[in-house]
Amino acid sequence: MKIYTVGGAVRDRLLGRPVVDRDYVVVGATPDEMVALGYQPVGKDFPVFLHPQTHAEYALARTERKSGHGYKGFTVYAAPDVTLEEDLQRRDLTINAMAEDASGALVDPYGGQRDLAAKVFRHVSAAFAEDPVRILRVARFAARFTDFAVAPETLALMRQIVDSGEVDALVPERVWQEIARGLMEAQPSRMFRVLRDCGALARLFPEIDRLFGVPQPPEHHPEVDTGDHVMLVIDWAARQGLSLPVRFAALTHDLGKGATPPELWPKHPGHEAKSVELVRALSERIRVPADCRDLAVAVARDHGHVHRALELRPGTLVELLERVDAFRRPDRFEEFLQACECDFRGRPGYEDKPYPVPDYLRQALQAAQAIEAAEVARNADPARIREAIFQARSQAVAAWRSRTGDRHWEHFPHQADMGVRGIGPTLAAAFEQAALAMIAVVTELASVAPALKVDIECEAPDDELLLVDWLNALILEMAARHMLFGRFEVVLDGHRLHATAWGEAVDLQKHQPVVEIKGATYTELKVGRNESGRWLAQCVVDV
Amino acid sequence: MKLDQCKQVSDVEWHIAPFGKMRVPAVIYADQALIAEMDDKVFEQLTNVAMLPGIVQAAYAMPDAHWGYGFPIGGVAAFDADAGGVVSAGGVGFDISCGVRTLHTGLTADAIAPLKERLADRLFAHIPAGVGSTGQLRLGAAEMDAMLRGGARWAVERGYGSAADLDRIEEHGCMAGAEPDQVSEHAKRRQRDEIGTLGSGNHYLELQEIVEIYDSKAADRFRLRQGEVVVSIHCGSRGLGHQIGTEFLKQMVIAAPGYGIELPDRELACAPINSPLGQSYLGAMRAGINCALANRQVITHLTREVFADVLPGSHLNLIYDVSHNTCKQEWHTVDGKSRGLYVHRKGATRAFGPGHPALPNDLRDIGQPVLIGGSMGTASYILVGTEAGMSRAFSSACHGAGRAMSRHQATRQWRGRALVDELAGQGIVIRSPSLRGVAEEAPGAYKDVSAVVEAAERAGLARKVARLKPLACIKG
Repeated sequence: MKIYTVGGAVRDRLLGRPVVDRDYVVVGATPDEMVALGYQPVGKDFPVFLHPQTHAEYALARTERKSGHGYKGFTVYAAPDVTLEEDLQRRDLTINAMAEDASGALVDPYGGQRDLAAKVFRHVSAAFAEDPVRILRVARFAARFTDFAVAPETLALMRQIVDSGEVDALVPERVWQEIARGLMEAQPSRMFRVLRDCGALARLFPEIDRLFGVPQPPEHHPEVDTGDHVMLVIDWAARQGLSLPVRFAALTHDLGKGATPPELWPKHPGHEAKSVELVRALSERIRVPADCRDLAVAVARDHGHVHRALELRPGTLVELLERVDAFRRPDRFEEFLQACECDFRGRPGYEDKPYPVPDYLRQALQAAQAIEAAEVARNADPARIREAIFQARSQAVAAWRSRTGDRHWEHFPHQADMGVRGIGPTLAAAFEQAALAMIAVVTELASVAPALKVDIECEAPDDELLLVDWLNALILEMAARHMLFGRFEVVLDGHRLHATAWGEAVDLQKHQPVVEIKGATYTELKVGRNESGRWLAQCVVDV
Repeated sequence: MKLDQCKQVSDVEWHIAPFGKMRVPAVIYADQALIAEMDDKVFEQLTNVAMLPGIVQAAYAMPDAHWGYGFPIGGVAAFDADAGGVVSAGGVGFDISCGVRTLHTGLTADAIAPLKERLADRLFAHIPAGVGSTGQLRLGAAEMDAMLRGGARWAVERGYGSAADLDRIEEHGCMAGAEPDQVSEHAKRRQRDEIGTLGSGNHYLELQEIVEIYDSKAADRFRLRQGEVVVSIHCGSRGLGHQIGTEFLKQMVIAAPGYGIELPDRELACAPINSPLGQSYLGAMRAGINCALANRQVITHLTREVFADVLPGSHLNLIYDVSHNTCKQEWHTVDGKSRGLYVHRKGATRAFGPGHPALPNDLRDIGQPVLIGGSMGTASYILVGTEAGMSRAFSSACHGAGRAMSRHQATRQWRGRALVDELAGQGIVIRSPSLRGVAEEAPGAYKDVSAVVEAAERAGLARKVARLKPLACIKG
């Protein structure tokens, strides 16, 4: 008997990519011989064995012939006289049909190396057509090997398979399995483009296929086409390394736009509600797991509200937070915000635009969380507990809003450190907000009690240097006094600043401080008015 | 980074010819994948550095370069004082003399294995780490000045470690030319009780196993044996260094026009070396270097106390101590002539080759150990300075993995608790006061340190000696 490494491991080694799983083919052996050598039989349908020590999979060389519909309709023939070439011939693509023996010698009867070099997915033989799931596999490979193209003859064959109705017989679980894996690849849009090119998308996911050719308003969507938008959104999610539920939600959030009557184009009134229906139906059809489905439903339903969060009234904000279960499931809420941010960024030119919504909603949630629900419930009419909690939360959000007014803070990314930005109606307010943003790098602002008061003065030749001076004065005072501040009042007198900071001694348990700030820097330093006339003060802090 | 403006001269070296106000070319050492991943800001910052007065030869970026402040992190530039050269507070950075030292335990990983959790707990309890932590020492005014003048030598004189340690520290443990008078009262106030503290962010103390030896001759000389365990300490000059950086940055920004220096970026604030402000900064910065050396020396002592308790009879010998954020006066051969230059290394390690007079006697024939810290959960490396490296980037090499992703992005992607559990699954014990801090420092947020080290070796900056795998990590 002879043992070969086959398939993905050989391909990935030739591509210089990390080899994750190794599969082996054994030529010239019987199942009894394998068992006698200590291998453990595991295959139900095929003769597959686990190595006694490494537990890697060893399959006997086999041929397969189609004998009916679906992926179980195969006749498997495995015997010592099946050659390696015969075994390789039943495989899907030439780049996956190479083998390597123990000495490292390559067996490549179908031109796998040539196609790797030419970056082409080419089917090995007409037997490709015998398993329609291979269409999904090729599409998934396109999402992983992002510079490979499908050979024209393979694409033609894929179209034939679609036309023959074979893809309609695919088992839902296998469709979801392939789609889920493809969504986790580097550029998932390529999977959907390949499925669309061969006509499979319309058969498997008509609700996604329908999005292509549906226009959106160009002032908000420079890409116009809804299908193109959704592809940008899932690719953005992939670039950020986000989870499967987030990517699935990104894929399905706009399904409702495919159901808009063309006379209403490019507007899509009420598309969110239609999206919800379609996400539910799709999830049912291909048996999408509950965590993916639930997040996708929430994002489909509420992404419009989220984008308008800064304009929502306090009660509406609390309704939104309750609807997406933010109070009980903070991790899911983060995923929800991630998916909404992907929707925002999945448009040409929006990749680097400020998107203050996630920080804003987190702050609103924090304000609402300050309400002790149990406490409110104890004092409320038992029949109206929900209502009482809702009211109390809305009041807390309203109080937070009136406290901050049209001022807020946010973080922006820097490769090694963190950017802090304050926005407010006056320069002094923007300075206060920038200070809050800086503290939020270290700890949850709400955790810092205003127990002690410290006066701070500084002066600099211009507003920008003054911002850096102000933040550095706070860093110095906090470090020297082992304190954290949580509230600020700034008065400006030309380029002279007088301020009061309130805070308390650092308490590791209470504040869970993340990182110490070394200094405020001149990197990305800007002080001035934005387009809406409000003051903005920002810089990067070194941590 | 867009590669169209870089000329590739080898598989790991890229040149940017001077354009605009650049006085010298810029050189990036990186393979194709690393340079492609670099932020465009690295290109911008490196070419800005090349515009500074008195810069000699070229502005250099190491394979781990990323977007920093003024200088890219992983940036190296040398200036000639007599040619109007400058010293830049931004070119040294906030964490003056942040660095790594590695101690040999002489114990095998097998011997440590049953005690790993206990060691981690004891080290975490004994060495103050994280925000707001204070050390056991309180320095009055006179002691503060003595520490700033004496560095690790000050610490050894007070019983923290032995004289043998000093030989294995750059500058033999004491940076000459430190002027405590140039350090503000604010800076000293920040440092009063911070000696012997690890800090936070990317600072750590790690137990590491030597898992691979690449150069057995150098490994022998550094006493590195496969399967044995070392302790690495990564931290810097704490609040004092940060405050010096902050204050001089502002002074230099304000003074630059008076010196006729046009700043392409405020963060590049600098002053002529031969100016009162330049000299004052150098005096303060050197005091900051001593502060970092003293700090690592005291932490070394605390580490030895824990080992003596948990593993009686163990001896932790210092292999070497390197600093990453410095400006030092050194002699380098430029166009066949030996010149005294002020070499800024911002997130870069000095890597002297064999024969350099600054090396201790017992390492002089082999070269300087170059300690490369990985990120939590990934490998670290020990390299050695080479003869060839002396003619490249003024004997400098990379300093670590370098971030690939912002903290912001990292906290969106990882949860601290899950990460600690995942690393525990790989046999790596994490102890940290902050779970969000752990998430921000997730291994996946950093570049592949192996690729960085590989590129540094292929570029001839330094040669690989050993690879280290983390066993336990105390995160600040």
